[in-house]
Amino acid sequence: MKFKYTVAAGLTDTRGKMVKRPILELEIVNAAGQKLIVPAVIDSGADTTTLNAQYAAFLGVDLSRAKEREIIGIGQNRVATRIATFAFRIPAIDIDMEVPAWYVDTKHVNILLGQEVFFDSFKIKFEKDHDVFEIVKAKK
Amino acid sequence: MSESARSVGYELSVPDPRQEFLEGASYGIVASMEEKVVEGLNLSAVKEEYAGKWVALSRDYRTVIAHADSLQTLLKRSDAPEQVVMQVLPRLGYAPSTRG
Repeated sequence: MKFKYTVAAGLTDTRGKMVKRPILELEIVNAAGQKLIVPAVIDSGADTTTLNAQYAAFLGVDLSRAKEREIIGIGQNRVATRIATFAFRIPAIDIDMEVPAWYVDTKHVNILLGQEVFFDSFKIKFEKDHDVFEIVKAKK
Repeated sequence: MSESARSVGYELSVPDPRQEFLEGASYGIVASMEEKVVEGLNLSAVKEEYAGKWVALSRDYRTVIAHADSLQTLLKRSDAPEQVVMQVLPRLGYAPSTRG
């Protein structure tokens, strides 16, 4: 399935053109059956899926006993994350999946779909030259 | 556009096959003439004033239903069955490099 890049509203690049990002809609559901639609950036520069720690409470993921790990790249210094899993559905291609994830307490991350497991599971093509990215389930 | 696509706020469009052919020709790929492309999300309702906050948007992304400093508070203010939720980032460029 091919997707158009999403315009990052109000953000321009060095040439004054609108910044566009490969954003995918996900569905997340908690134990009570409450569903949220959440936009996620497909981030080939992230080793592992990284998401805001506030999603953990909604999903019922207990981070208090989760293993801690430091990362860099989303702040000036090392940032502490908690390692757990992140389960979601990609409605556009009707796929449910669960990936390892770093939950981070910051205002600078929503959801970044990173390399570990996610990029192993799909053939992902960034075709920015014509504003499209493609996601196809990998054959294994 | 299919009803299911409309209901989730996606816009589906069929690319001009001649354009696809021309674009693909430079690297030897001819895209399928039947292939559909899911339109990007319309985040224009997410104004800069919401940076650093959590927002709940209508399913078509056109209306901000609620905003709050935390996701927990946001969900107390808005419990629409089909809502889009996100942490709004500052309007700054982004260059990720996460090495553990």
